[in-house]
Amino acid sequence: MTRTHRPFLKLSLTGLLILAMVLVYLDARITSTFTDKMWELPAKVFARPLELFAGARVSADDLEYELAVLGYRTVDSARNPGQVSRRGNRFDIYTRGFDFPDERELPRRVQVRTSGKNISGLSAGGEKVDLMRLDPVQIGGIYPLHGEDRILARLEDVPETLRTGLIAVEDRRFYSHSGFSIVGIARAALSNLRSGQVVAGGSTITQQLVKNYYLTPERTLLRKLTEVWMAILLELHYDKAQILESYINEVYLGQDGPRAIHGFELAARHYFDSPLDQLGLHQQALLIGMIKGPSLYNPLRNPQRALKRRNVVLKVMAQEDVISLEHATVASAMPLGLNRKPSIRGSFPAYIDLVRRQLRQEYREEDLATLGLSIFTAFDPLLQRQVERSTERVMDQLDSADELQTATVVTRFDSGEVAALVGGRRLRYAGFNRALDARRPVGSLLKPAVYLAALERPQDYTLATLLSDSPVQISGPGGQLWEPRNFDRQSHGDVLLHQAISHSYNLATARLGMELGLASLVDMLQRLGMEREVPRVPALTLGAGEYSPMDMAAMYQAIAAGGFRMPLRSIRAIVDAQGAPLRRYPLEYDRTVSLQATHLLHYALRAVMREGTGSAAYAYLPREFEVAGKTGTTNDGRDSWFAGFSGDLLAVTWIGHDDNSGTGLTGSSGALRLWADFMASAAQRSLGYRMPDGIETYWVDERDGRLTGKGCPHSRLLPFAAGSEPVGRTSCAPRRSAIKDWFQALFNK
Amino acid sequence: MQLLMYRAPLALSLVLFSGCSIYGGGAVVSEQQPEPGEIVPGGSAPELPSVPVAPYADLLRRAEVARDAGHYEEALVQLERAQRIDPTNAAIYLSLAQTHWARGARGQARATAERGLLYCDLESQCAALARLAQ
Repeated sequence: MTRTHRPFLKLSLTGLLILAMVLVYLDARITSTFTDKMWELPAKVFARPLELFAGARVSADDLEYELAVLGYRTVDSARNPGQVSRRGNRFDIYTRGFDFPDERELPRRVQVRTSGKNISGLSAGGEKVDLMRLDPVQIGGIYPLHGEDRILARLEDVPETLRTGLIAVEDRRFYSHSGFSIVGIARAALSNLRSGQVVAGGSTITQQLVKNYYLTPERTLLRKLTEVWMAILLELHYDKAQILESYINEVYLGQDGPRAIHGFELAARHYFDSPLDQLGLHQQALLIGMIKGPSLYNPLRNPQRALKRRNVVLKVMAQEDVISLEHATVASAMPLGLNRKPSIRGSFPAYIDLVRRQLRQEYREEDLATLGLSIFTAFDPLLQRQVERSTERVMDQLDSADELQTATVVTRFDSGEVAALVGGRRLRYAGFNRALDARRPVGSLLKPAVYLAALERPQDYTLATLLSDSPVQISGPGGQLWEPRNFDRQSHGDVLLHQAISHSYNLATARLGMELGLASLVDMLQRLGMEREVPRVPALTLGAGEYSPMDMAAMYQAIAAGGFRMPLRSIRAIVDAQGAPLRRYPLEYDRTVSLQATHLLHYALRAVMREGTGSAAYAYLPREFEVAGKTGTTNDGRDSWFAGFSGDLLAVTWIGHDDNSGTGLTGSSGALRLWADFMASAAQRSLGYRMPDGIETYWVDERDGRLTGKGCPHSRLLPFAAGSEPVGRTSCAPRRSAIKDWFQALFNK
Repeated sequence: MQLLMYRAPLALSLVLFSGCSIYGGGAVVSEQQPEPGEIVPGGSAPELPSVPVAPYADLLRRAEVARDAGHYEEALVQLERAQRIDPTNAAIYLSLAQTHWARGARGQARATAERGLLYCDLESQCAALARLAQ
């Protein structure tokens, strides 16, 4: 007897031991993960907030666009946060408020008046408001590989009807069971038996949470048993409120492309563009109904099916006394109330790519996708809209076959912030980001570095120095002869230095570059912020090497800023999931180039636009609007470049083929047109003229660079570093002259 | 309370004057409150006539209070916001440079003051920036 029982006893004991170990393991799994940090929260990437104040350069159209991408609803009278009413140029906005890294902007009702391109008045409750910010647009997120996205909601912020309705539909005995319900399982088993297949799960809310959070979706007996045990353990450790809150944040409610919509709060915003606590009964019922089949009842794809399901839920809610029959009847008659506006989120893959790369230097990818960081960037939706419009407009004119590619970087050079970015012709396509990854020669775009290196030696070189633009042969590495040519295949004899820049003469530039020495040019490029390795060959003087539009933006940024190098920034600040500031990217200047030399270069780059290769820009820009810039064309027209700046914006544009074939374009006939089209609509400030200390102006003869008198033949007023003015003088005495060139006109502004 | 009484006249004493502001409301420069015994270059505020207040005047006021309390990071956040709104206002660069100086970042103070010199019109303001830029 004893013999026969012993093996059974041993087996039982072993089984119990294994069961205990499994339970201990499951228990440890639950208690170690079921915390307030259990969710993987993707990083949210925000655009810059729009600053509102009287005098701000924001037109009515701009404001309307900003509010539209923010998802503000147009109503007759703004009574709730997120609403706006507009009458002509008067906007009545009930702002949402926002927790910025530096302070909280409270929701409030404000009145904004616009006049022309400006805000002319800003008030709240009859009181003038000096300055305020709208909430920033979320332009994207950094998601984990499985694409889960959610916005956490606290149970107390969930509408009562949604909570009780959810329980009525999904788990009527939620508050009385201990994790699983025998009645529920029996009912499900009966349904499955009748239909001959698995049609019902009979899972409680606790079981569903366990299944979704801890287990795989396959339907096996072992998984079901594990689910039941874990549900019981979960109920032992945590109260019903904690479990319900977790369920509300975990539940899967559909797909938005690669992004999985989890939790009711995100679903409310995704389907209705509304916070959860502002949903109507009909919307709450729809979300509850979707749990049964998020894809099947997706209201955006299957509206009729979703409507039917929603009304079933409303009926159940009325039967269970969650709502009255009257309320259910009224809600059943309502339309689905969906948000059909296309979301701006995910629309700017090139810029998000830039943000991501900056972040990767300091954060692990998995942290970015899970820690719930808020990333505040300098992205400007209004500028992005303009650059995208210009890109589409000009590229369609240049190439109806849709074969040419393009990229543009826009920065605010006073702060070094990248405000907008186009990475290719397909604006919403997250593919090859040409703004960051294209590697192309830049032609004459690099010439300003040569001239800056020269102008830093005022005793040797001034804007009036005569340079020889005659054929030249230069020995390169390995004894190779380099024989540059001008674009027009002509040589122009002796030309003044400023003319060599404005007309982009290659022979004069190559000669000057070799006079200065390649080391001097490389040093200047580095001081201008060029971090890429450049080839130390004579052709460097004419733009040899491989550069991205972003490299060029960094270089021209330093030039536009007056000789101050600033790292280009896309991120302003990072805040953790609790709202605590983690990191700020401050404004920092580093003066690396002579102020006077940069000032002289600005003169030459303005001359490019007024009388040189960039003058076609004035077919787009108002005559009195001052800009400076430089064209770039590479051999056989493979690359068309333009880099230039106004008083507020710097933009670098590239056009070319990915396969490096010829485009038939020059910098002037291609990239300049796109740049000018953009600047004409986006730039707000003409490039001002201020002469720094140590600069003086003199009249010189344009033919030979000698000093001459005002009003003399071929006289031209030029700026010089003090003490570097020409020594020779013509015999012409000053005389009266009413003729003024663009440079003299600057002094009358 | 005592602190508030001290701050109120200080805030009122902010001198608003016309500079190269793109908003026409004029630049904003405040009196300096250096640590006792410390000489902050460019620290003495020039006496200037009052003109309309710039929209970001309050940011500069708050930045000064923060700087005086030794909260330099907070001051820089306010000033950088003001600089983004009006990047051609020399007074903002002056205040930025003074904050960098006060926190011991002398190189950054110098570079910021030099940048401000590109935008200054008023002699007193230029002189204050030039002192910091040296």
